[in-house]
Amino acid sequence: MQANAYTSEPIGMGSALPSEDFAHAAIEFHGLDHSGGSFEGRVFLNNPDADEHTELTLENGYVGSFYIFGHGGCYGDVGHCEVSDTQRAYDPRQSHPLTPEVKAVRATEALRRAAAHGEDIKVTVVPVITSGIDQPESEDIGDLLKFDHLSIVSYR
Amino acid sequence: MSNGKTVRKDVDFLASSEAEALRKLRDAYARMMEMPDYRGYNYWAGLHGNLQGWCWHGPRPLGQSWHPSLRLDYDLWLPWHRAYLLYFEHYLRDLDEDVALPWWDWSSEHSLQVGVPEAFSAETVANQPNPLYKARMRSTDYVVPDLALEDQGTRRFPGQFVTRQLPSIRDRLLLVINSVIGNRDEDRPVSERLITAMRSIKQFEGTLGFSQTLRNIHDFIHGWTGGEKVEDGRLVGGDMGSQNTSAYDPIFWSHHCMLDRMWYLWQLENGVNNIPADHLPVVLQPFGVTVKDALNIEALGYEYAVSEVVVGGVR
Repeated sequence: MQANAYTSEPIGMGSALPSEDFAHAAIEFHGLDHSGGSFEGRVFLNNPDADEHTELTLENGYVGSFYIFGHGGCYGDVGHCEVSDTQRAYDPRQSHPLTPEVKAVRATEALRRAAAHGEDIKVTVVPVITSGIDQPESEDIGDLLKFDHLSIVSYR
Repeated sequence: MSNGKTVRKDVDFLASSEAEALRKLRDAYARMMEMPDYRGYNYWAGLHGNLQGWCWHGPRPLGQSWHPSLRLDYDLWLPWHRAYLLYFEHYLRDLDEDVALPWWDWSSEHSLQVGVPEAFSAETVANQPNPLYKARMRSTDYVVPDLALEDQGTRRFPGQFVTRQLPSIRDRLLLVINSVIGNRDEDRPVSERLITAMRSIKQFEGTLGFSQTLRNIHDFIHGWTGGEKVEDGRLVGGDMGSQNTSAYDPIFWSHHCMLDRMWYLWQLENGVNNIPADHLPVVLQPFGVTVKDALNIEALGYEYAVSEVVVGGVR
């Protein structure tokens, strides 16, 4: 029943946040798929064992959550959900509804603390289904969370 | 109505103080749901996801386009849904000039306690089906029949999840509030603290800007309201939890009315025109409204009521 979690490779804080001197910091998730069910992405630092039962506390490395409002599957014919990488010249239509999106989680304090300790961090995302899935209970929903890359961004 | 403008009100206020206004709203929804043509409820609900798929929930990744108005990183979900509600409301008002979309304040103490308010959760009113409880989604003949929406009523399982591990709306809103303004003013109502937190975000765009912070809340409320349950060995999602079907659920319009109101309150503090200039000429398809047109609700002919007391006069 639980969708698969993601854990990053160790990220060197020296390269991720070269200075502690920032006003805000965030972890951004790029290229997120939203074609399936809706879910909460719970973001943890340095807790690769986190799952949907892990308490959402700072001590457990919990940073925050982003939410995906999914499309709930395909209602169309073959090709209905295929997102093209290119756009034809003079095509005035807006982008495909399933064009992947970007989400961010505020992580200022957690990242400031990690930067102060100079430790490597691992980012874990635990997807927790909220709605929008219609299928036999026994079927796998493991690949709900799909994205291209994450980035750690700080702001002055 | 005041000065010819539509006055949108809190649905809880209608339920407690303006029973006749709520009755007229229900009646207009019921009549709209019976109309099979372009003025009908199914047509307007179908603009959002299935079938027509016009809704904008970006921003999407930065992309190159032959035309600048098609850049993918435009953050248009608030203006797009403002135009969508405006058009929907006009078709509703064609059926009764006196009605206006009410907002569902999911941050109010009442909603934090009961979840979906009675105006939307009561299955019947006066022994008649409540059109704010569910709508009929009609299948159509221009999508593949096996994959099309079934001809069925909308479903809603608010706060129900297969894992039982999701926090409440209160916990989720507090998480957002605390991430933006910390734990200050903890003794104030969640609704007031939420407005304070959202207004403190000065920039409209960006992943940590007002628009995307509000969209994250929007996404959570959609999932929470739709919910998920197991029926006969099958996972069944509520329609509010899916972009394809959410606009068929009558509570969709009042959820987005609340979000539009929050944008309006933010604009009062941070400026009506506080949006990237290159967004302004973009046409919000399929409506005949640009982003610039959608910024000022006064120019669009509606208002959000703070409070209203009506006292009979004398002749």
